[in-house]
Amino acid sequence: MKSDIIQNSDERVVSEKDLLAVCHKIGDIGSKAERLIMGAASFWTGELNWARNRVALSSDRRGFIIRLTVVRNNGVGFASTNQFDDESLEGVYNCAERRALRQASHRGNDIELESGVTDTISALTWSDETFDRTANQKAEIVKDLLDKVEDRSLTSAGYIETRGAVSAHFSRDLFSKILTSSGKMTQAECSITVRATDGTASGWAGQSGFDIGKISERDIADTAFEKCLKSFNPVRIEPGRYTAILEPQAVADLTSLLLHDGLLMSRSYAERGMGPFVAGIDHGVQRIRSKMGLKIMDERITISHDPSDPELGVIPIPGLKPVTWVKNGVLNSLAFEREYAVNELNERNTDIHRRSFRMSGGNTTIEEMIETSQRSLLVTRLFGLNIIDEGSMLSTGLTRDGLWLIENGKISKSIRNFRFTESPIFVFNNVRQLGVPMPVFSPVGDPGVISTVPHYGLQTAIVPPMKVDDFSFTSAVDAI
Amino acid sequence: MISSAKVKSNSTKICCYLIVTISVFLSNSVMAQTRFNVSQKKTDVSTYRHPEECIAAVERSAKTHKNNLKVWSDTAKLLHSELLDSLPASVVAEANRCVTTLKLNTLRELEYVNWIRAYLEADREQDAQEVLRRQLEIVSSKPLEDKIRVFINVRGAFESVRPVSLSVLSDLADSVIKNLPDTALEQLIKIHMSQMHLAINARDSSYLHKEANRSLSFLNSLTPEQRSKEQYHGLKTSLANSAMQFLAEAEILDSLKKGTQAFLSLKRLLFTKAGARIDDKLPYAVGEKAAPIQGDFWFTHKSIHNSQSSIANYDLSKPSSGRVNLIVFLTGGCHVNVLPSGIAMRETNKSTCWDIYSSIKRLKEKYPEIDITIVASTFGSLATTDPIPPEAEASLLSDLWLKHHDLKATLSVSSTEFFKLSDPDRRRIDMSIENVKNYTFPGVNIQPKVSFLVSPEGIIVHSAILTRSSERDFERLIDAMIR
Repeated sequence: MKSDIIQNSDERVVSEKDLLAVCHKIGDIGSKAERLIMGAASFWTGELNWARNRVALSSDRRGFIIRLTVVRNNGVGFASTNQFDDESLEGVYNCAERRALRQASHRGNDIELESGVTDTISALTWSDETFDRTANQKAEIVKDLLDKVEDRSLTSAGYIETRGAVSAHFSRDLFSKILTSSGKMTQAECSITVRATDGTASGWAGQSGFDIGKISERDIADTAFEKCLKSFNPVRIEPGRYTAILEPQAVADLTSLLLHDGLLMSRSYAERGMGPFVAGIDHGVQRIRSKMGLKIMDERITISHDPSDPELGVIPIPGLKPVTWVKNGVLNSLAFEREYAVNELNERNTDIHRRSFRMSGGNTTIEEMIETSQRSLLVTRLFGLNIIDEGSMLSTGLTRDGLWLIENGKISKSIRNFRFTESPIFVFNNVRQLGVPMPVFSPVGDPGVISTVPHYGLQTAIVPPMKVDDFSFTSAVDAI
Repeated sequence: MISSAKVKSNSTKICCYLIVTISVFLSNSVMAQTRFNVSQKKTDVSTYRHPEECIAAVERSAKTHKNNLKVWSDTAKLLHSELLDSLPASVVAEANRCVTTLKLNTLRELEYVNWIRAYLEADREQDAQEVLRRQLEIVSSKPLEDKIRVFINVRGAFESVRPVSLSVLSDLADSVIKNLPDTALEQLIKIHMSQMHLAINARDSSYLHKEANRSLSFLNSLTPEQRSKEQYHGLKTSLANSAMQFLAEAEILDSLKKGTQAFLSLKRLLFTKAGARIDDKLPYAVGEKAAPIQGDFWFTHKSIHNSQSSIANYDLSKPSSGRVNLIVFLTGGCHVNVLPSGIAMRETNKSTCWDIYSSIKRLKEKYPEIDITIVASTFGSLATTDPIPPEAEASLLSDLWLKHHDLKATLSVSSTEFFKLSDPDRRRIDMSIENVKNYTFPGVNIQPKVSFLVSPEGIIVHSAILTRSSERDFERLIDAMIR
């Protein structure tokens, strides 16, 4: 196969077969390598971005990438290219090989080879509707929103983005055993903000997932619009401890403080005496114990992840097992990788950290939570979160894009935003009511992070709305 | 280089996009990485304004120089000669070019250490001394601790440049010692220790003797209370041992030629002279009876290489009576990645034990008479391989050490007893093996590469971590016992 075919293809993405052929070609070039691991991908992005009621970008972008890891003389070398012609493929291999040879005393054989999968999982990650969504279809939704927004002299910003990608993975070990796998996936993200032009009111809504059919950009636009209208004329109330109704997005924002941090969620970190899950020293065995096995949250809360859960976005890592971090309020597991498994547990199974999670819930609707409240706050989402103290997970941040006071079972007024100083662990211990879990807006992570640990890339979350007691709002802020 | 003609048209512009697939890296920097020839253009140091920039530039060019040096595959990271090696002329020239851009009148109070280092690297010691003088002026009215801190910081700067100026360091140490009150016992011991270490690493015998004498005088000057004080006892012992080791090296070796008892008597005499308490045992297990080595799995070099020969045919009572024995502990951290097939063995972490194999080989080649025993214990796995039973692990270790590395030694592997913490913790807790218990002494903790030299009478005469640098000490003692 001529690699130029890929480069000059009119298709948005090329086939898995063609990508694998490129991998095999590099495999032939690198016949001297002790080990060879590579990932190749062809991808497409269609964006529609707007701000101040004007479309800023409508794109159709396509790209390729091949990332190569070579082990030579026990050294490891990395290189990548976005050019698939023969000269570039040879060049990228030579570059990785040179780097490998330059550090010949490194840890070449510590790199774990993937076991490889022959069957693709595309059925669970690919949506034709997402891939086929055109710029015109997106523009129609945005046009309708902007018409409404301009009628009320409001302003809007946001984006609707759809992506499609085909990828192939190739590895060859010391015994020349070759494993290959390939797959394809789509992704859709929609985030919409509607604001008053004088900056006194704001409404936001968003969602992400692999199937745009389940997202409904029109509903998101309506929600953002309605929230903005409801948040006009906010009043300032005194900060303090309030019962708070956290919409799913706010719950996800709070939970992500814990779940998105690989270090805080790691067993070895806790067992070195750091982070929120340290129980103390067990003098009998002279080891620091983590809080695994201890109750840390309300018993109605279970936090888990199943890599084959289509709602969370299937993570294509062979051997990645489902994990339950918190089971009925008890810390059931913390993340650990192979080195820990082998050295500390003498086991081969791992619980690799991943950012996606599903939190169990109840069946109370947000409306019911409001109706049963004497005086509480309804929080749309949280912003600018920072951990103040790792041990207690005391954190701070702002409420944003819609905060309302509820009095006597009804939303009584829109209020100015608050800075909060609170720990997610305290919050999840003060749960009064739980709603039905639902997907939230959780855009994919930093591409740089994805590159090294793909399971960090997807950070989808399915969480319930929650009514909690004594949420600590510490000061009023002017941000909207 | 990639031909621009091959870049696709505008409609297929490259962008960053998420691909949730192993090994696909999509960061902007990666996307841009299409060139394979790194530019060798030199940095223009004339634009630099801070000493940190000069230090970094020197480190960069020195590193390039170092990477081009051919070294032994088993050479330890720090070579003795390195301390006194001059930086290559090209590096010094670059450092000089760089520091000429610095203006002394811009020196701020807390920056003196980097300024001194930058000047020293440029071979401009006078300028460095001038910076020191200015700093001492600044702290002249401040408390004693501030002055001491300046000396210690400056000492660090002098120690970090190559070649190390031993005379300046000695003067600096003198200044600190004179200024420190007698009550600052810990600081005083540490300064003497660091001077001793410097002297040992530099292998400058006259400097070493000077420092050893100074250390001994210091130890002898201690009051009876200071001498018997439990605090800092380990530091004092270590200092005394280092000092007498080098001051009386010839006498010590001579005594060993006469026999183990003569050697031990002299050691004790010197140790007492060096300030030890009467009831102190000799440090580092010297004089202790070497306990018999135990093991669940035994392998010898011959049995591994001769399939006809059974292990039962060999005398496995170690240390062997009537012979000089070297007992080497290769525990825990020496476990390496041995592939289950056993045909492609590779060490993954050369930082732990990789350099000891050459030391063992060299000692055995030079002194074929000595009996070398490697002591190991099972760990349940090897590096990141799947967990394996003790028998298989022991067999893989023998393949690695006796076959692959061809170490002419006897290998004893003990099956480590362990228990697991209850669910959900499940951590494996290893119990100490008998060999480790038997060879743990005050000042000697069993860690990878700790080795014991045992006399024909079964008495430990030396213990240390066997490295390329400590190999010579073992050699001299073996030589004295054998010749």
